[in-house]
Order: sequence, then structure tokens, then C-alpha cells
Amino acid sequence: MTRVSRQVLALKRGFDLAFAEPRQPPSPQTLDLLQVRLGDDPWAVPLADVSGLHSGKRITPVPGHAPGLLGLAGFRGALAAVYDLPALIGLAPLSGARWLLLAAVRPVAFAFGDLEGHLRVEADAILPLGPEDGTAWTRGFIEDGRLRRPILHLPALLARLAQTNQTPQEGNDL
Amino acid sequence: MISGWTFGRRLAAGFGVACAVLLLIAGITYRNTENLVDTEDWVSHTYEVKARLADLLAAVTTAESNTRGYLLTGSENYLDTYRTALNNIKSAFDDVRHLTTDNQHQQDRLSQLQPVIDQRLDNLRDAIDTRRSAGAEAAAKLVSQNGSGGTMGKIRLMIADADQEETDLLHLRTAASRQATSFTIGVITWGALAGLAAIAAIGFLITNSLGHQIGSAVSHVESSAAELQASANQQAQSAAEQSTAMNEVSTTINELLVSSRQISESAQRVAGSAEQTASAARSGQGMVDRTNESIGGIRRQMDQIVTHMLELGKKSQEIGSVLDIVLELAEQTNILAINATIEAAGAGESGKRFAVVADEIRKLADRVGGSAKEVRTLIEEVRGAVNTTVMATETGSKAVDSGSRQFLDLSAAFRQIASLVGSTTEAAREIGLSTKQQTSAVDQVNIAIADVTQTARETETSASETLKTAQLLSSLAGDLLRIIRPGVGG
Repeated sequence: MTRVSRQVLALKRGFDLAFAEPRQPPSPQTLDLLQVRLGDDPWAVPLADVSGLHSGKRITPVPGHAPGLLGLAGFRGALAAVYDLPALIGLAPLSGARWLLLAAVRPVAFAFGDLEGHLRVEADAILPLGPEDGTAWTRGFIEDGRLRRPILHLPALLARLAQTNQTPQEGNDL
Repeated sequence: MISGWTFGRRLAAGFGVACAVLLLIAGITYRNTENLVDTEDWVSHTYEVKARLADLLAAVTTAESNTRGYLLTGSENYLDTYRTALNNIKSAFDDVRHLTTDNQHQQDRLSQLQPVIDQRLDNLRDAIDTRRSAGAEAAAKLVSQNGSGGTMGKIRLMIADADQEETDLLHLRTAASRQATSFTIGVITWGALAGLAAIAAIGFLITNSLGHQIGSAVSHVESSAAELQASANQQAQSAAEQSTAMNEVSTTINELLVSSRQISESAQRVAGSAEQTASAARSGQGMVDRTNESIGGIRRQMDQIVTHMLELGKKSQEIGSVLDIVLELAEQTNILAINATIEAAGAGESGKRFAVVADEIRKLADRVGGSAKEVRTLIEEVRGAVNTTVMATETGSKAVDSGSRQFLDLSAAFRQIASLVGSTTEAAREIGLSTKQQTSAVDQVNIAIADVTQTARETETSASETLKTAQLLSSLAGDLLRIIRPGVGG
């Protein structure tokens, strides 16, 4: 049996198994995360902090001096400001924004480069930050294989944006 | 100039000069003899004139005397003689006149004499007639009246004058005859002496000249005989050497003949081998042609493989496009599942079942996405393999092209080999034929050399004979030299 045949067989079994296993409701102690890559670093974003994931949206630039603001985009009949997520957390700005995360609490979207997938972890899998890891928009991290993936604290980032928008002359540093 | 004349020409010239001298003498003598004969004729002519004058005088006298006899006797016998005398007178007178036609003086004298004779004869006839008619006395009387003595005397005188003139002419002509005779004798005598002297001189000159010339020629003959002798010796020696050399050449030719036959046999074997090689080359060429056709089939198959591979690559690309759509769908499904999860979380307790379905959908989308990525990887591998196969096939096609060209070259080489082998076969046959002809020619050369050897032997024999002949010629030259130059030579 060739490698392709084995892969096809494994895929077929996976499908069959997926539809054959009893449905297990998600445990209340689990946390759904999106695996994203900001810059060259792996990050995780809790699904609870977002209201939607979109790709390929057209971003219309708007005049202004808000740091990380890329423009406006339409989401199901509503406009939302789109920010450069890596730039907001102090990384290199995006060269092309493909993915957009729409925040759950405010019509604000965050653009990032690559979506790595969905990850469901137990609550106790979230590790606390050390003194050296602490930032305002990070609330822990998980061990994803050999990777150390920080969990983005999106409400803190929105709060800082709101604060920044109220006092726009404070500078680029959030 | 004379020194360049030939022997015959000199003799002819000498005899010619002698003959010319003799002819000159003979001509002069002939001319003098003719002159002498003429002179003698004229002397005889004069004698005849004198005789006829005497006859005329005698006839006149006879007529006178017989007339007197008739007159005295009356006999008719005297008249017969008288008549005969009359005829003699006429005949003699006519002869004299005829004989003296060249002498006008005598003709004039005869013209004077004739009437005198006629007168006298008339007197005589008158006397006869008178005697016959009147008798003797009348006749005597008539005779005494006519006075016959004066007429007869005149006739005698005139005939004597004529005779005297003839006598004078006779003297002159006799003297001329004697002079001519004397001159002829002188010419004959002195001419004979001169001819003898000329012949002697010519003989001396010819003898002397020929002696020198023949002596010189004999000397040359002697030296030539000596040279001929030396040459004959050398020729005999050369002939002997040639005979020996011809024997050696004949031996060599025999060896060459054996070699030629061996070459001919070898050429025949080469021709046979070349024919077998040509057959093998033709077979090889046929095999190459068939192989070339097979290569053409392989090339067509490879072209089809390339076409199929390219088609496979194209299909793989199309599969990749479809797979992109599948990936896009999986991604969108994943997005929808994530969004459904988000929405289900927002729906509270009622959304939990929906969250489960959304989670399954998301897992399914993840699997589909992962499988699609693996399929993409496989397709990329297939495309890579196709590209590698196409490249390998193209390389193989190039190799096939190269092989085809090499087979074409090989086919051309086989054809060239077949052609060259054909040429070799033809050349071998020509060599065999030429060698046979050479063998035949060598046979003929061998025969010719045998003939040459025989000729050399004959030449040697002939040279010996030539040597003897040269010695004999040298001896004869010495003898001849001694003949023409006594006291010279050994």
C-alpha cells in the first residue's frame, strides 16, 4: 500500500469516525482559542472575545492619525474600524491584511496575517504569566506542542484603543 | 673538287677525256678523209673529162677516116663505122659538157667547139652524099674545095686546149690530194700520240689518286677492322655476361611467376571474403534499418508519452485549481464553523447543541483542509514527477534522436562499408585478373627471356664469327695495302 493510499484510507476513517462517534457537548471548563501568527510569533485569541472571523474583506483607508488604524470595512451591513493587530502590540506592521477579527463588544476589527486554526483547551491548561512575560494585552499562555503561545487579552486592547482615541495626541505607544 | 669524286666517277672522267681526245682525232681525220676523198673524186673527174675529150677527138677522127674510106672505096662498111662515130661524137660531147658544168671556161670552149664539129660533120655528110650520088671524083672535088685540113686542125687544137686545161686542173687537184693525204697522216700520227699521252696522263692521275684514296680507305678499313675486332671481343664478352644475367633473370622471373600465382590465389580469397563481408554489411544495414524503424517507433511512443505526461501535468494543474477551490471551501467552512461556534457561544444554553455541530463542521473542515493540503502536496509531487518524467522523456527523446542519428550514421557507415567492400571486391577481382594477366605476361616474359638468352648465345657465337671476320678483314686490308702500295705493310 502506498503512502497516498494510506492517507486516503486514514482520511476516510477520520470522516467515518467523526460521524460515528457520539456527540460530546463541550465541557464548561474548556476554552476555544484561535491560533494566529502575529509577525513571526504564535499567538492565541479566545473565541469568546470575538464576534466573527472574516477573510478577504476590502479595507477602505480613512484619513486620521490613530495608531494602527488601517481603515474601515463592512461586516453584514455595519462598518467597523480595522486596526493592524501586530502593530498594536508592538510588532512589525502587516504587509497585507487577509484575516480580520471582529471584536465582540465593539465594532472594531483587527487584521492579522495568518490563521493557523482552532484550538480547544482545558481551562487549567492556561498557564499564568511570569513576571517577565507580563504585558497589558496578555492574560496567559498555553503550551501548544513545543510552542509557547501567548493568549491575547483583546478587551484590554480595546480598552486601551478607546483610551487612546479619547486622547489621540498621546502617541503611538499604547 | 676531284678529290671528292667517287672511284667510278674518276674512271668515267678519265675514260671520257680519253674518248674526247680520240673523238677529236677521229673527227679531224674524218674531215680530212672526206676532203681527201673529194680531192680524189675531182682527180678522177678530171681523168674522166680528159678521157671523154680523147673519146671525142677519136670519134671525130674515126668519122673523118671512115668518111675518107667510103669516099675512096664506096663501101658501106665505112658508113656503118661513120654512123657509130657520129653517135660517139654526140655522146662524148654531151658527157664532156655535162662533166664540165662547174667550169665555165670549158663550157665556153665547148660552145665554140660545137659549131666547128658540126661544120666538119656537115662537110663529111656532104661528101658522102656526093660520093653516093655523083661518084668519087665529084666527091674528091668537093673535099678539096671544102679544105678539110683546117677544120680538123682547129678541132684538134680546141680539144687539145681543153685537155690541157684539164691537165692543169689535174695537177692542182693531185697536189691538193697529196696535201690532204699528208695532213690526214699527220693528224692521225700526232693525234694518236696525243691520245696516248692523254690516256697515259689520265691513267697516271687516276692510279695515283685511287692509290691514295684506296690506301687511305684500306688504312681506315684496317683501323676499323681493329676496332671491329675489339668491339667483337667486347660484344662477345657482353653477350656472355648477358647470357649469365638472363639466366639469373629467368630464375627471378620463375620466382616472380610463382609469387604472381600465389597473389592471384590470395586475391581470389580476398574477393570471396569481400563478398561475404559485403553480404554481412548488407545484412547489417538491413538490421540497422529495422532498428532505426524501431527507434522511430520508440520515438513516436516517447512523443506520445511526453504528450500524455504533459496532459497529465495539465490535468494535475487543473486538479490543483479544483483543490484550491476545495481548500478555499474548507477554509470558508472553517471560518463559518468558527463563526458558528462564536454564535453558538453567544446563544447560551440553546446554542450548545449547535456549537457541537459547528465544532464537528470545523473539524471536518480542518480534516478536509489538511487532506486537501496533503493532496496538494501529492499533486505537487505528481507534477514534479511529471516534470521529471517529461524531462527524462525529453532527455530520452534526445537520446533516441541522437541514437537515431547515430543509427543513420551507422546505416550510412554500413552503406559505405558495403560500397567500399564492393569496391574492394571489384579491386580484388581486378587484382586477380591483373595478376592472371601478369602471370601470363610473366610467362611471355620468361619465354622472351629464354629467347633473349638464346639470342645472347647466338650473339656470342656471332661475335666470335665477327671477330674472325674482323681478323680476316684486317688481313685482307693488309694484302690490299701491299697491292696498291708495294713495300708498305707487313
